[in-house]
Amino acid sequence: MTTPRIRVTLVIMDVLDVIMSAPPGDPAWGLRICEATGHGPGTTYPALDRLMKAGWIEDRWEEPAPADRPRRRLYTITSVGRAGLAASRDERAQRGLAWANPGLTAGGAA
Amino acid sequence: MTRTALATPEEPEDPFDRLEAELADVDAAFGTLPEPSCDAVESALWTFSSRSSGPLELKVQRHIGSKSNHVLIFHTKAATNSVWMHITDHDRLAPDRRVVVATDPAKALRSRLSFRKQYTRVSPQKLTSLAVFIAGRDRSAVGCEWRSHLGGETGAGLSADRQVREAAGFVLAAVHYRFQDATELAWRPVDAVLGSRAMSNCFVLLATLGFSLWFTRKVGVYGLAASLESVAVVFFASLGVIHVGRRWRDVKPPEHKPRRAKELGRLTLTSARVATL
Repeated sequence: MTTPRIRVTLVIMDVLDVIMSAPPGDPAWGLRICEATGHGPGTTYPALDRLMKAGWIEDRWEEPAPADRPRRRLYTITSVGRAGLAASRDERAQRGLAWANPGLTAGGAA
Repeated sequence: MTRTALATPEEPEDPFDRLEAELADVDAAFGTLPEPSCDAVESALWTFSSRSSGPLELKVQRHIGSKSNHVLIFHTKAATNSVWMHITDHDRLAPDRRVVVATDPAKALRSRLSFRKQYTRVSPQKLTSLAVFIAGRDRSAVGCEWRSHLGGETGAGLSADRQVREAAGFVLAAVHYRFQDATELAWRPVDAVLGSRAMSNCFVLLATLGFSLWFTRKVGVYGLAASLESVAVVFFASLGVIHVGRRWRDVKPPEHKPRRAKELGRLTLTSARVATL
């Protein structure tokens, strides 16, 4: 079974940046991702869902469960996610370079 | 003596009584809130004093109250008219308190009505439950996740209006989930066609045959024979659709397997030649 493709939008990149920048002892969770990216929950949670399905991030529940509030769902990036993000960044950079200086890229390809 | 002569002149209606009656209707319409605490009253007085210029001596003149509505009427030394203060204690909804200062009871009442309509009819918990319902049984875990989101960083809870906004975002997220699911479901047959060589060939064949039949019915067999290039265009266009679709959906068809021994032998021979070269 192939993993679903993911279109790396700016929202996806923002979400991944926040998840990657979180310290290992205090992983990112929904509200923190929303606040850090500035995107609302209507945008952030579907992006998290897509990333989970693509295997770019993985989730786990807060342990031990706190008594005074509901458990948080913590997200961490996987090796697939790191590689995918790096690849899409390179692709974006190349595309930007090609757009800014088409002659250079055409010369390089030739 | 007539009755009209005995009747006492009609007294002007007391605005307080009218307000009390109206507030009773509001109670019936919106249910009850907890009785305001002393803190709420002090907070209201402080807010009013801070708004006015200079210190004021506020003296409670009349208090119309039930369990849900409290209108405090103050007479101030600085002002000539009485001031109506409508204190809404909505601790249940938000940590902060709202004070409405109005110079007439109708205004206070209207303000309260609009406030209650704005905040009490939209409950973040109900919105979250609706969002979880929309998201479906497969994503029931989001319920716990979204409740922890509403709890905030400390777990004490976000402010009431922010909770409503976030809960509305949850509903939007749930609709997105469903839309994604529907899109995936819709792509499934397309992926099946793209992923199978036999089905892809069948698609190309059916498209070409369908077009040929339609063209024949329209212009006849001779017309079809005269414009065979149109049929060829349809054939190559459907082949192009398959190729573009495979690339777009990142679907790779299974490797072509040689079915006949002769073909297999030819392939082996070719590979041996390549090796010798």
